[in-house]
Amino acid sequence: MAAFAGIVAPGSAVGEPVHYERARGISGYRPVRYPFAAADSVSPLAGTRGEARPISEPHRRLAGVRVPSFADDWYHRIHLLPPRIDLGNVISPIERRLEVWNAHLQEQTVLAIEATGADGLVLSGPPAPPLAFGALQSRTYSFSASHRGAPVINAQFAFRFTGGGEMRLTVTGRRVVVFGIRPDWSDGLTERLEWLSEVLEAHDGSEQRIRLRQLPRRSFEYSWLLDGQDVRLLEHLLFAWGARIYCLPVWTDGSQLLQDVAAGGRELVVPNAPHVDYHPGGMAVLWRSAVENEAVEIASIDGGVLTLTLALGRSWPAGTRVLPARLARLEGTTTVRRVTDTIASGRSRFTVEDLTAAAGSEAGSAYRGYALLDWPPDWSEEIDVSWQRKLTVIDQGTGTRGFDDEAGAPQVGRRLTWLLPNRPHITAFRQWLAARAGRVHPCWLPTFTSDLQVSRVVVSGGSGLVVLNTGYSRFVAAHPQRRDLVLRTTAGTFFRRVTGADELSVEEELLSLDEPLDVTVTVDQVLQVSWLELARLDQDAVELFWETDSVVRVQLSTRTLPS
Amino acid sequence: MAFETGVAANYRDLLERLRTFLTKHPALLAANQQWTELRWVSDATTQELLLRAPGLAGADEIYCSVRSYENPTSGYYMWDLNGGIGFSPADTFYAQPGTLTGWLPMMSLWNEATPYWFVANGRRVVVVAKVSTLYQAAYLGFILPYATPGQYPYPLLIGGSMTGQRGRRHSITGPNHRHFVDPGEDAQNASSTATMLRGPAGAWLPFQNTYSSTSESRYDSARPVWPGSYSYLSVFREALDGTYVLMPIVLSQGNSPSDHDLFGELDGVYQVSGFNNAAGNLIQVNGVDHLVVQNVFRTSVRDYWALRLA
Repeated sequence: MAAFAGIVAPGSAVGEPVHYERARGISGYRPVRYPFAAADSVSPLAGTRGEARPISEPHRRLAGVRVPSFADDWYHRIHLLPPRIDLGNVISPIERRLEVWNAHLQEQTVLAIEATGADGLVLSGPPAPPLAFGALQSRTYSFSASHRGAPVINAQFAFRFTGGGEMRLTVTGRRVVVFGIRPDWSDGLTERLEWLSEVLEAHDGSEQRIRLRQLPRRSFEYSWLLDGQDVRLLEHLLFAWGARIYCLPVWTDGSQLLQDVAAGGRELVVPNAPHVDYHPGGMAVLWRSAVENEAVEIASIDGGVLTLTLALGRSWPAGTRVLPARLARLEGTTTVRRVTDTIASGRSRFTVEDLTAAAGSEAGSAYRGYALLDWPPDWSEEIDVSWQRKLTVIDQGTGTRGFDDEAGAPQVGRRLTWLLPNRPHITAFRQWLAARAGRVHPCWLPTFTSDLQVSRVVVSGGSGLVVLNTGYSRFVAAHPQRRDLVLRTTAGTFFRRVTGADELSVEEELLSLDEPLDVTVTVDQVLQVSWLELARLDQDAVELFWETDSVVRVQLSTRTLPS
Repeated sequence: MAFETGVAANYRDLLERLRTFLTKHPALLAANQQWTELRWVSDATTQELLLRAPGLAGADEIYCSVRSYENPTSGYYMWDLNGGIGFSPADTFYAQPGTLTGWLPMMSLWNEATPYWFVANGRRVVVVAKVSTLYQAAYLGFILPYATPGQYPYPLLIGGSMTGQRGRRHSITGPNHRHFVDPGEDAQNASSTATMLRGPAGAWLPFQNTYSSTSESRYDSARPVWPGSYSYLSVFREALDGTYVLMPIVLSQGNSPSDHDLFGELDGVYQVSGFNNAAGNLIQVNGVDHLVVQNVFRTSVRDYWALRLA
């Protein structure tokens, strides 16, 4: 049996396993102890750091483009903020701020600020040019406008920069003076609304109507009777401001302050504001006398409360008259009649400059595509009806005369008067007038006369109307200009078209209606049967004659159209 | 505009170099746009630098500040970035008037050699620092607002590359370790991120494009930084002729699906495609070099931006 020498590897610190069994072939052993060699005892090896930082990377050069953005639009220029100033009505000194911002990323120098038409306007604040604006530097100028100066403000301030750049500030506005001479109501007050339309009439009487003016012109005319101080004031108003724009109170639309308002206030309580001529951006006048008054600008209207753009300059006691006001120009020659050395009377006419659009609205229901005016005229004045024919006379002077009835039908003109007794009526009528726009838009207009006499009961569901013979079936027979009627009865009002007519006897004729009545109407229930005519105004100008501040008389000419 | 590049010995040296750069660089002095040093404290383990920038025309007062601190045990070497609306000599770094409170935008640096790029004018300074193979960045100063100075007089942006609790190692790979151009935070709508803008109303507004759910997630936040928030940015490449397209970085706010505010753009900082691109490349636009920077450790196509070196 061979005997081998062995070692036990140093598996643990002890070096020799606790339990072991020596192979029988191993005759002896010796434990091996760590370290095995001297070299092994050099304990642990430490690394040294080779400094390679910072880490460098391979770099490339690339080409690129930069995307333009909003910053390119917003920067690299000069901003004038605001670029345009509308002063509105300069009725007291106004101050506004103007920001000049050099949005260049480099310095810019203002060489000059050139003002044109700047009568009564002052631009102040930063030092006078030449003045350097650093990159992105903003300066605020103070801009003030006095109420003395040219009546129409149209000024330009040109900021000239180095390098030829130029920025322009445009300032617009107007200066007004209150024409506080109140009307002499014994003569009333006339308000005139003037549309403009062109009517192209064909040979057969049909026509094309073109509206030429967006907003109706408006004017006021009234007389006044003055004495003492007011006469002198009037003369000076005419002397200094005759060619300029006045702030004219709308005398028909006044009301009174119910409570005192203090200086610095910005609100006026005006109960009638929703019904009269106030509008945002327009003006109002506080009036105590021709001398003692103040014009204010209206920022907004909420119910009966006017909010003003500027605070009131002085306080006003309860009872002060508040009126809407319009910018108006004196028209024509003003004649001042001197009754005595201190009393004067006269009449003046104003055209309104700040026109606004009146909302159009119809006064009645609609029938066959057109609105219907169901508003009887005032019979205190007669209704004139004129029958015109488009009749051409061919007269050579030698033989008999020839006649050509071009349209084949008459043009019926009517002259109607309305008396509008209160504000709601007046407002509704104005809106109806706005919807007509002068001669442009027609509407159904009853003749308001008893044109037919019903002679037999009209049963429910019956589509025939028996009337006393007026020669309708013989002469007219549902002609397009005379075939619609309004049947007023105690059972209701009916609008019907006549589709045919037959003569029943010498006394009676039968009119066929396009639609039967849905109730039975006896003869004594019928109040009035009038023809309905499609008519337009025969005038572009309408005069409202104000008898008082709530009663208006209007006279209108109309003419019929084929329906 | 002043530009400087070099290698700082460590994070403390970097701040000293920034201090010298902003207050003494010849280009800034020549344009009269050098920054004023309001406080400089250099202790054994901290530094504080409070500055006032003059704006381009010398008419502004822009307050920005940096504080460095370290913790060798935890292995972090930080810059805290802050800004305010004034300087109070009696108050500490974190209690200056109008400063950011809570978590701040930060830069997580190290105590080793650090290549850096500084670009500044009188309105803002941008710092890019390379830590190992990561990039850290900061933007201190005004953006270019879409408003006049009268409408938005103090558009101060404090942008960094890390936010969260103070003291974070540069090796963190979470969503709160992102640059100000495409910022993130651990949680959605976090009140502090690496991009904090003093809004038109005077409040500090956090901007955020990503947050952490199971991993880093991109989300349509209330105040995203465009175009980092754009979902198709990852397929954005160079132009057909090989030129790279630099897009402005716009700070926006979504009030409702139909009502958005745009505050303005970062000055001299642009998004660029990372396609075939790498950090350290130079992109020349109209003769001006732009340094390509990666968003900390990220190297996907959408994670690169360019800094105008002028």
